[in-house]
Amino acid sequence: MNQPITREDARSSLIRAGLSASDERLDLLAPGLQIARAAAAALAALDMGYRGPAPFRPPPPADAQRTHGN
Amino acid sequence: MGTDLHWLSIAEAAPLIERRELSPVDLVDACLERVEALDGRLNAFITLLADEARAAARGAADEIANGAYRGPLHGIPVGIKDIFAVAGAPMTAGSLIFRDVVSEEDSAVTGRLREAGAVILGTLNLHEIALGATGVNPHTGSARNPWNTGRITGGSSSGAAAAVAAGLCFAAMGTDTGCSVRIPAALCGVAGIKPTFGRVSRRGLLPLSWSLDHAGPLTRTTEDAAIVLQAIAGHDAGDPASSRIDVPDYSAALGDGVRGLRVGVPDRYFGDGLDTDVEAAFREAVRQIESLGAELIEFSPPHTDEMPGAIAAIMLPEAFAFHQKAMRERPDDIGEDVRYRLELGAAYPAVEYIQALRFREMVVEVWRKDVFGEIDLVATATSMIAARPIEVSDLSTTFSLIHNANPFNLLGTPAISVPCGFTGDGLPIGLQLVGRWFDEATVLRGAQAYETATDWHSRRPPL
Repeated sequence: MNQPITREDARSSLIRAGLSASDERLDLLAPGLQIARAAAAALAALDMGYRGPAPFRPPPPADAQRTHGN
Repeated sequence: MGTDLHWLSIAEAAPLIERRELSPVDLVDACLERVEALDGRLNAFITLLADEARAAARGAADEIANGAYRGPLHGIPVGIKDIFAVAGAPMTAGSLIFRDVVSEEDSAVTGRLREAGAVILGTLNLHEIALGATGVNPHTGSARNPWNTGRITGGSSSGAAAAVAAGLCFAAMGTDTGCSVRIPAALCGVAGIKPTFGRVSRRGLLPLSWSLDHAGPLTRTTEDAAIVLQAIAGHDAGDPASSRIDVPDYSAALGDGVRGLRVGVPDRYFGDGLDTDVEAAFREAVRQIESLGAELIEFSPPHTDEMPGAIAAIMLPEAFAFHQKAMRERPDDIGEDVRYRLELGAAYPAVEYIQALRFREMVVEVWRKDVFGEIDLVATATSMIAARPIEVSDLSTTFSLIHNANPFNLLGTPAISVPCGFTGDGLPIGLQLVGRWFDEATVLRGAQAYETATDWHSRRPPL
């Protein structure tokens, strides 16, 4: 996780999202990604137990939808 | 009436309107004259709805004359950040991408303000798509700080803060995803409250980050913030995050003071690195709160070091997800700083986003038990710095602006900024008070107690 983020790393990340950028932009982006990765590594190192993100909330049953109009 | 109608508070104007000693038409005209005189320098408005506002004011006057007074916002001129839908008006989000969008219907907030009788004066400038804390906008031009027009207002609700501080309107709606109500409020010397996540509907609001977006008002007094929040709070089925928890009477606890409240003053994260004038004003504000009868409790805030990374890992990918099409098709139409943040958002692996959401669940529980189990309010400086010159406001400025405010977007707690002093060169400084989830009443009570004991909120910019 602490490996330096290179211009090519930044380029790969953007390509996966359907973006492209000049070398100059990638050179600006790489340090930002480096900081983001370090922050993410700090989160990953925490013991968060079995806790997950907030759960999916299914919509109410059809009868309730008719009753409440939503 | 006198010539300074624009400086009345809502709480002062409302009884005059109810008794028909003050006409909403005169109030709207006073604000429009003020906009005409000053907005060329302040650049607070994007779309001024002068004709619509005058018509609405006449309608309000007729209703009141017929005995149908709606309450303290009836006939009060308000501005709306240009990211909330206002039916029939453009909603540009301060962006070239949305320049030609005209809203077909009101946002939930706009609708509730209209139902309360408020008069919509127009839409207000902002940091492009609300993704930035300075208010510097290459497309609409930067809103300018009424206390020094060479300085930033803070953002992203830049025009909202400038307009309220300069007396162009009585209240303005802002949004706060990482600081964007509280920072401009602090830098422009007005009150701004970010309510609990889910307290105010985001329906009809251009999203920045669904997990972190909050909507809240900016006003010149805490009492006015309570009045506006009362009108806009409450469940809305159109916002999946909207809470069904009952809305209390926010004005009821005003005046109860802070005696007996336990006010936490966090060390390290929120205290280190403050500008000298900001630190002095904050320390004096805390002493003042103690002198009013609050018990001060120093504490070490848990998990603050991880919070900024978690917020970025949630906000930026969500922002990119919404703006992905524009980033692919029209990247050159997006301002440099916003494009950079969206590119960062594009590059986050999914696992980092999920870890941040897991962290949020954990840290909320830790703060619920370890902080708000012992403390009624947390006090911090809102921003580490006062308003910087527009031309030198960059990423390091942004860091110093958002640092103390954005942990409370992750936590989703209510937080208010109220004026607590000025720098040596006359720029406002903000005090942030943070409360338990859905306890806006205590936040407002604490802020109003402080405000009553000081005169910072009653000072006016030298325009």
